[in-house]
Amino acid sequence: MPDSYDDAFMDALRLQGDELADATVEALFTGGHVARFNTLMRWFTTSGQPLPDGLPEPARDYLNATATAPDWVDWTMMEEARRFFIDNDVHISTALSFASMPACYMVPHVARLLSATHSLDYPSRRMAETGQFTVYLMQPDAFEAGGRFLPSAQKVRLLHASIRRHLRTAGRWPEPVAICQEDMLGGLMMFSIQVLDALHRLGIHMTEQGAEAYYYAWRVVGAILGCDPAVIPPDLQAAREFSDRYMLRHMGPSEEGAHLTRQLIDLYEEVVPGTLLDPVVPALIRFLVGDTAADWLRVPRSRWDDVIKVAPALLGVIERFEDRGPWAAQLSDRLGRLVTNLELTSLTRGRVMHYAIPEELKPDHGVPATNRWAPPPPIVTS
Amino acid sequence: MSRDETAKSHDEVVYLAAGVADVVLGGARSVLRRLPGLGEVRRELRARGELAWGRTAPVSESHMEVLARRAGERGAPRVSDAGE
Repeated sequence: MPDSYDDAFMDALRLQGDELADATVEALFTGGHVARFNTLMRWFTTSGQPLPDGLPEPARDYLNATATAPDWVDWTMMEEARRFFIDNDVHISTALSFASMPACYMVPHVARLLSATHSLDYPSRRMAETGQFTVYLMQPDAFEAGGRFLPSAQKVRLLHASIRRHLRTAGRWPEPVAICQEDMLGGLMMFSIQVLDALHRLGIHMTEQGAEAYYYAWRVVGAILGCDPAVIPPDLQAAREFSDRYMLRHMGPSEEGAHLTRQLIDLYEEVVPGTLLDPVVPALIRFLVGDTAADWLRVPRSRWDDVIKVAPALLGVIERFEDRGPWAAQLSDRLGRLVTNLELTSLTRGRVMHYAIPEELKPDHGVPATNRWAPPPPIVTS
Repeated sequence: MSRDETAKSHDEVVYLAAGVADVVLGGARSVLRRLPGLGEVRRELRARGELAWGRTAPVSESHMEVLARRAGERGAPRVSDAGE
């Protein structure tokens, strides 16, 4: 970790892409293998599946090199993270949907990139799938034969590399590197520490251990998705620094950001039954991201903006309700799973596959939240 | 209705709702047994609501709000620049 994430450090990250994936994509393009690769890879979806015959050599090398999790992964921490995720499934997916997604849109060049590269193909989907990695990751077999996590990550890395290449060769990007290390790490912060910020805002009780494990899982995801492991902030305090610095460097209003936010809100309103509760979605976004950024994104205001402030109190009530006994916990679990499913499924337009919360950790559930953890305060800037 | 009055009536709704939730949780029977009139129920609910609110409401504002304001002060483009 550097002494501080100053502008010089962050600027240097803007010039770096993802060396391994970039080289692979370059070789596939120059060798004219892209179409063949795509056809063959269509059916490659789970770990342990043999690589299709006839794969171009660079692709085979890349897939072999990235077929397993990094060897430094601490599996005890991952288990802890899974427990944290199970305990907070509904809150985490709420935070991913209504805080992380809008945070992506708050960075004008990220919003521009999403619009430019996916305007025909439902722009929110790309980022939503990144959020969904947590879900894949939290499957008990995520890294074993049959798991879907690693193959999808392998494909996403190549997708990013190809976008980088397309934008560079077409001269369509104002900077030397699109989806650079700074932006990938910035995205990682939105799905990790910023989710913890949102949970805190919702009044969710977290232990330090749980928060650290959740962040750790995202460090692993980041490394698998092509972030340079040497640069990924090592702990929550460093993540706070990086996250705040990144947002302060780039956040602001943009036409694309407002447009994407509108699409996101429409999408949720479609899946919330009826129209009565429609304004809850913008109100929740506004509650989580605050008025200034919500105005940048043109999140509509409504009477619900005040009502939604009860959310933390209600969640507190649910928490205490769960303590009443196994039947109450079970009922609230069911409701929670329904909401989680609805939120994540709508984000990906029902393309969520194999979405299931692992069952076997449930007996461990219900460890009382002692030593309540709160995210570090905003960094002090000069 | 002035802005202040609107805010007050919103507070009222919020506190009442929190109070109702709190009563449900605290066991409605014991509370209702002690309360004869509707007016008193309302007062009790509101008081309970304020307490419940104080217990669970977030003490801090949105982290992103702090950053956004700071970015704004440092000269992030104004909303109107985004093309209203």
